[in-house]
Amino acid sequence: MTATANAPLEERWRRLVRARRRDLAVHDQSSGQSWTFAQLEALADALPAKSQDGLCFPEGRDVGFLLDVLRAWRAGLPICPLEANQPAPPILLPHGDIALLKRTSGSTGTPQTVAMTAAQVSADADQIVATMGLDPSHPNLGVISVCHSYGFSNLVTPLLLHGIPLILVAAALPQPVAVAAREWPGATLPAVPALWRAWWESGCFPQRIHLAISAGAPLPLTLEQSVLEDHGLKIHNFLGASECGGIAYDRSGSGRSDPCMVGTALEGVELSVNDEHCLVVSGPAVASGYWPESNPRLSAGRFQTSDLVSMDAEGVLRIHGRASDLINVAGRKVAPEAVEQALAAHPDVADCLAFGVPDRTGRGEAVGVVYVTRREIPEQDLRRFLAGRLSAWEVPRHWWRRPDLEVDGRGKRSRTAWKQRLTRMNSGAL
Amino acid sequence: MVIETLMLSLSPEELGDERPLFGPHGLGLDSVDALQLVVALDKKYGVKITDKEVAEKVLRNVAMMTQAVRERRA
Repeated sequence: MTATANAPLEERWRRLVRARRRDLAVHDQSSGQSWTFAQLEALADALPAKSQDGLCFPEGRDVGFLLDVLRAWRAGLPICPLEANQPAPPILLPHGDIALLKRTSGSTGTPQTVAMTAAQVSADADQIVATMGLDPSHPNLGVISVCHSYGFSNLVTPLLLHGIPLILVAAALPQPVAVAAREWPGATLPAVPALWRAWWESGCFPQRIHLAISAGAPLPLTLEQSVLEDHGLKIHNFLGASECGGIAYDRSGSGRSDPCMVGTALEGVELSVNDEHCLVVSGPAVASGYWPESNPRLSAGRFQTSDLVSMDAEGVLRIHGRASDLINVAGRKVAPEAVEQALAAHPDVADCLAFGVPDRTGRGEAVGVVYVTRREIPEQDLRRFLAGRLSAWEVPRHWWRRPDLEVDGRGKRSRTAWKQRLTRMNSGAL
Repeated sequence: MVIETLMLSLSPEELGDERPLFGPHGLGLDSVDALQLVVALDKKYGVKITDKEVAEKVLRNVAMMTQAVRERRA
């Protein structure tokens, strides 16, 4: 790997430091510590990058994550961000000019890796900053994970390439967030619908927020309207994807009247709708491809999503559903195959199908599963079995045991048919 | 309250008082569930949880939550 892969990012960072040396870069609410851009640079330069087979895996959500990113940029190592204590996945060293590898849910049950160049990382940051009007006078409150695409694009690169200060909030709990908002009036707060709902329900809502953003899952209209009514704050709906960064953004200052509406294309992003009514995204921030196995859905600056959409003459985008079966649990995506494979590994499970179930607790969807067993087995035993194999949020919240999984009229097992049947049956409980 | 807030398909007996709510050997709840429980404890019982360390302690299991409610009432 040459030192040139990250050079454009490293150069932008150095230029930023020269211009903003003494300005606040990061404040950590937990420790009370703050760092200027010059201090961040000095700390980053003091140690070498951590290399694992030519890759760097920055992890966690404190200033150490940012320092690992800067060190990797200096050393020319591609980075693959991880949550704290998440084991590094086995990834082949990419060839060419790849600067960032993002892990994302695979639609076939196997997680995939998205490979982006420095130019694509830069373009995504530039598009988001320009479209949302982010600027250094409005620091970002860092509540969401910086390891995933949304947090990396809205918090990390705006800091390191545009100088938008980052306030690392101690926890997503209502009180620390409200305190951070009070101590940093006029901040920008990117979050997911589940967090906005919890803060609104808590009665301890963050005040004096300059810009509120919601992404990761559909923003319920009632939630947006309630926050606007109760607090005079418009939550701006934002659509993005690991494969291409920011896609569409609701720029309007008033509440939406249509729950399907997600806004218009980010600056620099081109949107179109293909013959299958799926959204296609083009632009300089679209990733080079999946790594190491390519897929024509993501290539040559173009990403075909699984979102079923319509777009009007003004370019306003509406999402009507998904062509894929991915389950969206509070902004995190899991492929039903991943749940099915894990459950089918139990010796007493003969068959199963997993799908998303509408959830009224603010998560958007929860995982549901219909299953067949070879003998009577308590559901909690199966839950415990899965707890050792899946993340907590991937373990089904709703379970239906059946003597067999009926097929639909075409001879195929249908997740959609089971989902419709069971959620209709249980709509009172849901 | 846990079952109702998180809409779990469990009976109170299945949930139990000592069963860990989080972690691989527990009920398998996640960070979104934790936040919802914090909000519910405040709204229903006035128990304020303001930092992560306290949240990890109080939300360990139903027995710990019950104790926090009792201490609040005392």
